[in-house]
Parts: sequence; structure tokens; C-alpha cells
Amino acid sequence: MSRRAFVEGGLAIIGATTLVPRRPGFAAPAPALPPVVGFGMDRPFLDLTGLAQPYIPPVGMRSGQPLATLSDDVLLSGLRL
Amino acid sequence: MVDFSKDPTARGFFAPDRFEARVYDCEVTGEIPKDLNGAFVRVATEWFYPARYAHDSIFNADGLVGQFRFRNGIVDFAERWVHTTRWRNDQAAHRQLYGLYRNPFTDDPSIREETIEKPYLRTLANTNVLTHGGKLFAMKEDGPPYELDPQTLDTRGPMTFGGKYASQTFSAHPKIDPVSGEMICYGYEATGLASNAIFLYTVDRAGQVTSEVRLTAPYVSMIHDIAITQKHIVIPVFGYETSLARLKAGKIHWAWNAKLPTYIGILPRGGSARDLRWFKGPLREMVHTFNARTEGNKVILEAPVGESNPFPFFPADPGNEDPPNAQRGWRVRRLVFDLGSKDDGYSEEILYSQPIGAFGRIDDRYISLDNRYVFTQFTDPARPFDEARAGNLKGRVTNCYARFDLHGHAMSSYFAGDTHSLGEPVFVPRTIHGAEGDGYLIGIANNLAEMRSELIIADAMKLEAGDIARVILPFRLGSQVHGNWLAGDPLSFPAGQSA
Repeated sequence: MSRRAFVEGGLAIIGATTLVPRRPGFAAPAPALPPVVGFGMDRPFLDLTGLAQPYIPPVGMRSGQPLATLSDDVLLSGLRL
Repeated sequence: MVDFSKDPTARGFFAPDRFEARVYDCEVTGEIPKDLNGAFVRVATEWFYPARYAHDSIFNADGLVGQFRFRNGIVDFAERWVHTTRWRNDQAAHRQLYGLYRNPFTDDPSIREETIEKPYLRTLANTNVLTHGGKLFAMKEDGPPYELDPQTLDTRGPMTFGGKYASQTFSAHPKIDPVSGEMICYGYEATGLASNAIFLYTVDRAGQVTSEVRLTAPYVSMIHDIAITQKHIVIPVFGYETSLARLKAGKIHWAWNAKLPTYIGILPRGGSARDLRWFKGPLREMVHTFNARTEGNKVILEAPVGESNPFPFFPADPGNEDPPNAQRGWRVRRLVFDLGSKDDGYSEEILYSQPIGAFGRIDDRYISLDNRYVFTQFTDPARPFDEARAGNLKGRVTNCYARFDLHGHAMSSYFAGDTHSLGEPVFVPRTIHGAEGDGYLIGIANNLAEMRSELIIADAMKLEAGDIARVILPFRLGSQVHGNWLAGDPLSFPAGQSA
């Protein structure tokens, strides 16, 4: 498995786990749209309605861009620094 | 095992730090004013262990108290977790035992029976930090305050006020009367989960409880802040609701309800429960106040006031949502309550149309008195924002501080930078006897590009000139709720190296 495929797979799992409440018996509001990470009160929050404007961190590992969206060239060039 | 990978909000700048810190002789840009001597204490919310529920509120995260200590132009920083009962229990279990914000029915079965019976054991002391009666303490409105060692920030334990404070809860916004030195403090849901009891206390300058009044709220709601005058106490009740049925159903504590009216209670200081008068108005959101004063037969309250739900993690139940055209954000408003009137109405005026943030601060020497200036923060979408370096947040981060003149009509603003997000500002007087507003506006700016936090120091009367200095921390601070300035050496901070 390539690094990219591994990371993308991991992110898919993360995304799936946010779609359902983590504890049975205490259902969160049923989502009409996929949950989204919005931004309010100067920090991210998980919006279960899916209606919030998504928060997209800046490009670059330091600031949290998911590794899967970085090309190998970008990643390796960063490592060479 | 600690695993934050399933929390999609714990990314980048907002990934948890989890460590305690000491920085001796902090890096500074500009020059720290030599007359700035004392400490800026603040408390942040940060998850030590991941939340049990992905949609939980950040208000349910652990309390992390930070302290910037200023002496002769030098700044030291220290940060410690508040060791609440809850924090210690989580540490022992190596995981998050506690469920949703203020809902013990969602706690781990190993503790649930006890936390349902004693919900105040769930408090995190993560909302405000203050001194009174020679003690430094951190607070959250669902439990007792926790006393801290002012030198080391070690947690000493929950405060009991000699057994004379009977409320199960203690608000994070007690008011200290600058004239008498008394602290007016209170707890709501004072007798247990979803109870409509409000217990209100006066604590003298030595820290002794001198009076208690037991009140009943018109409905169970968030009473996050109050205001005091020299003669009255102002108690806003608005917008949020809860119930035991809601909590037993496993929902987060608060639901917004746009159909609820606003009630403002006015109680004479020194009065009894029968002296309380409730005024009633349309739905408002008033999580904080600026200040209040009594003029003749009128009580005048100024506050950041909104008309819609600001907290996405406390959504409305179906049918109770805000209308699509509801005004967003807060405005500087003045509410006037005529104690000579026969009805329960009050007047309201928007003093500035500029949308502002939720926080409201003044020169604290004027609490309960007629003050001229109020300080807050706001988002100026016209200012530049470097989305390539700081994310797609243009128009969505708080990037400015503001000073509003309530005697005249003038607004001044400070811009933090094109990669920065600002927390609550705090006013620091230049000298104890100086004029109102003569001093500094300080607060935390998160530099989203450089992945670090910076303490801004600006001249409160020259905000447009930019900051005088910035204290640079080489790491990210958690999301601050509130902070305060401790002038001089009120708690006998030792000279020399920082705690």
C-alpha cells in the first residue's frame, strides 16, 4: 500500500466515525447532510447539520493539511529542508 | 492510549497541546511598558483526553490556567492544568470518563451514579480566573471555584467559603465592587441539575460570605453573567433551555429556543427575594454584560446583545430555530429599566450598528459606576487575511479589538494582522489613579500561520497605532475563555524566576 493510499484510507475511517455518535443509546441529531468541520467563535467545531461553511486549514503539514492532499514531491521537498 | 485521530476538529493549530509550560524571560517584539507590572492570568479550554462525543462543546474541555508575569519590562509565562476532581479521575482512568457538556447521564457507567447525584463534581474550572479575598481561583458555572496557588498555579482544591456558600454552582462572572471591595457572586441551577434556583451571595473583601438571597428563575436557562450597580444587581435570563428529560435523553445541556422571551431580574443590593422584579422583553442573547449603573429610579445596563444563537454546539430543537433573517452577532446596546413603571417592559437602544463579538470588558475600576469606554473584539471582513498561510477564514476570524465611547459616539479599532485570531481583550490601567481608559489593552492573538500564540499589548487610547509590544510564545495556547489583570503584587508573587 502506498503512503497516499494508507493516509486516504485513514481519513476515510475518521470521516465515517464522525457520522455516528460514539456511544450507543444517546443519539445525536440525525444528519441530513454529512457532518462538516465548521468554524465559529474562533475555533473549529463539528457541525452535524452539514450546513456550516467548511474550515479548510492552510496547505502545509505544520498547519494541518491532511497528508493525503500533499503530493509526494511537496512532502519530500519539505523533508529535505 | 490517547488517540485524537477521530476528532476532526483537533487538527493543525487546533490540535491539543496537552502539556504544561514554563517560559522564563519570554521573547518580545517591541518594548514592554515599564509601568506594566503585575500578571495577566487567563484560562483556556483544552481536551487532555478526547471527548466522548464528537459533537460536544469546547466548553466541556479541561481548564488550563496560564499566567504572564510582568516585571520591569520582562515577562515570564507559566501554564498549569486545573486539577479538578474530574481531571484527576480522568488521569487515573487514562481516558475521558465524562460525557457531554453538563450531562452526567452520558458519563461512563463507572462514575455515572455519582455524577448524576452530584453534578458539580463534573466541573472543569475552565471559564474564568480571578482574585478576591487574597485568593486566586478558577471557575466554571456548573460547580465550585477551585483555588490555585498564585505562585505555582498548583490546584489547592474547591472553595467552600467556610460552609456558608450553599449553591452547588458558582458562576464564572462574579462582580467585584471597586468601592466596597465586595464580591457579588451567584450560582444558578443552584440545587441540582435543571433546577430553577438562583443563590446570590455577597462576599466581603476578606472573603467572608455576608449575605445570601435565594431566587427563582422564570425558566431554567444559562445565566452566564450578571451586572451590578451601587444599588442593584441585574440578572439576565434568555434563550437557552434545559430539563431533566432532555438530559436523560442524552442530549447536550442547552438547547436554543428562539420562542423564549428574555427576562431581566433587578434586585436591590441588600434586598430579599421578594424585592426581585422581573422585566420581560423579546428574545435576546446576552451571554455577557459590559456594565450597569443606577440613576435615580432607573437601572441602565449596557451589554453586547444579540438576537440569535451564537453557539453552534447548543443547537435548537426542531421548530425552535432562529428565523432565517435573524440578526447575527452582537451589538453594543443600552437597556433601561424604569423602577417607577407599573409594567414589566424596558427600553432598548442599539448604540453602535457595528457587529461585535460576545465579550465585553471595561476599565474594572468602574464596575457598577458610570463608565465611558467599553472594549470588545470584532471581525472586520474588509481587513486582509492570508488564506494561503492561515486557512479559509477570511471574514470568519476575530481580527480586531474595539473601543466604544458611550458618552460620545466614537469607535476606535486595533487590527492584529492577516494571519491572526484574537481572544478577549482586557484593560489594564496605567496607574491605579489614572483617568478611565488611560492604559493598555492586552489579549491573546493566535498566529494561525506561525503556529504560535502572542500576547498583544496596545495603548487603549491609541488602538489605531497598532500594538506597542507582543510577547511571543513558541507554541500554541488553547482557546481562551476569559482572563484578568492582577495589578502590582497583590498575591505576593516572589521576585526572581517564574513559577
